[in-house]
Amino acid sequence: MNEFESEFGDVQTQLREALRRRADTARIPTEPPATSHGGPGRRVLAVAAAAIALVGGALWWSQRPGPQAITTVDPATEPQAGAGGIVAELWERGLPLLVADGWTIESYAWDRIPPELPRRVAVGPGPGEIAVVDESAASFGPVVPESWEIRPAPDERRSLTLVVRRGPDAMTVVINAAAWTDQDAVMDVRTADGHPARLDAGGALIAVDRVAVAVTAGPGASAGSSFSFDEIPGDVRAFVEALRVTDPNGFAAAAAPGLPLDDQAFGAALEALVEGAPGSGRLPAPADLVEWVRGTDQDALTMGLVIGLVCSVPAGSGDPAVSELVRWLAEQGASYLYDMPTPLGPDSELCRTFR
Amino acid sequence: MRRTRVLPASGSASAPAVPGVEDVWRAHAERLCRLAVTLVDDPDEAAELVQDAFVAVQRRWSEVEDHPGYLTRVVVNRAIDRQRQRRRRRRTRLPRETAVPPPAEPLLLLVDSLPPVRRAVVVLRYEQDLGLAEIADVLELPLGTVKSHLHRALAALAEELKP
Repeated sequence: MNEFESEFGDVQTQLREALRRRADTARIPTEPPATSHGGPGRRVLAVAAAAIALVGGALWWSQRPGPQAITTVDPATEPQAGAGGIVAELWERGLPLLVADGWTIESYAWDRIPPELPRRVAVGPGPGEIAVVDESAASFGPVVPESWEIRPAPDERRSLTLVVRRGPDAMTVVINAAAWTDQDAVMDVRTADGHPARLDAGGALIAVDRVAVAVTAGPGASAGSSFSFDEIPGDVRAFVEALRVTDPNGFAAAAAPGLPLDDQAFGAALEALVEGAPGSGRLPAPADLVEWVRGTDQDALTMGLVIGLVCSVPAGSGDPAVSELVRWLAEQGASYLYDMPTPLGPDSELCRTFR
Repeated sequence: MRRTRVLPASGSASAPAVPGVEDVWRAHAERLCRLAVTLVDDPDEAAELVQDAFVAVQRRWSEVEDHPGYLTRVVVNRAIDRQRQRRRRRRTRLPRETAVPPPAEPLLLLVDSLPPVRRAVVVLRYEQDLGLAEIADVLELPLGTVKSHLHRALAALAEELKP
């Protein structure tokens, strides 16, 4: 027993007994779940089960209410699903933040948002409009304090903009949610004074506590694309460099299912990013930032990846890095990506992965 | 317990033999189910969670160095995720939320009210009998953070249990 535990001797005894009683209620399945590791017989069963599940899933898919249009609409000309559908799904699953393109929500998924939930919505009159739903988003951590904004997209494409303000070093993150229209998934990072720094999608991950924004694996990811960091302040650059992912295995190592996260630690990391490591007088080393990210909330991470995939999957379709990432997401249970606006359509391998 | 980690895909020729899934299942399923049920307080959900963990890990079975440790981590993290999801649904009162029966024992009710990570520390310490360093390994937290969680949890429980 550790020194500090000794003062709680009686509590510990009670705890052990109570937890043991609950543990005694465990139901232990007799066999492990069948997978391809289980030998030929089990493999056949697994394949049969998968086939049944596939057929069932297809039936379910054809019967389910909601975005049936995704099966018939050409996403290149009619952006009907995408961010809004995914956001609605995330919302329904209780994830804490919804950010989506307003046009999409209005036209397609708006009525899926439970009316009792708080709404903070700005729906513009046309292309470029932005909507952010969920006032609770304003409480997602120390890095995103009292002021954050919704801004119109900088161009005519429908986009999603978060402005993270933190003193003079405010950072704007712009995600192009309509990237599938031009095969050019783009992420812009801007400083408060509007200094632009365009990042080609290529594996950078920027997460702001509950708001996680990921540019996961665009056209340059597998090729180890270089970002145009020149105009980004050094601290932001270090952060992005620390988090960039060019190797699916490296990503898996950094974001595998062993991610207990400590939101405060991650908030501290971001605080360090924006303001420099408290007390150190210097910026955190990239390795430290990665450690912080490893401590971030898995839900937030997954959500960020979901949003990121909205941006980057179209450009990365066929890119092995994207496929790897999508498979990893599927392993994590990210089943809500079926609304992905991929030009390959809902029958693409990527979409099938999630069914 | 060794630190669990995922080996690089390339591996090495001198790597030790990979244990069979069923061997690991036989040796650890009960422990993992007991761990899971103390975290999620639902025997069926706990069993499902453990099976899901095996499914997830089997996909990278040959890459994992320490299967029991890795599975423990996956189970704990998934349990933490579920607790967080429950909390959010309670907050937002989503219609799909299903009622979770309250635990029968007041002490367990207090444990369940702890923040998910803190609760996991308590369960790993007093149900799984792990040392603090082992808990730090499973949760990938600094040792000091584990100590802090444990001390705060015990202090909170002691305070609540005062007559």
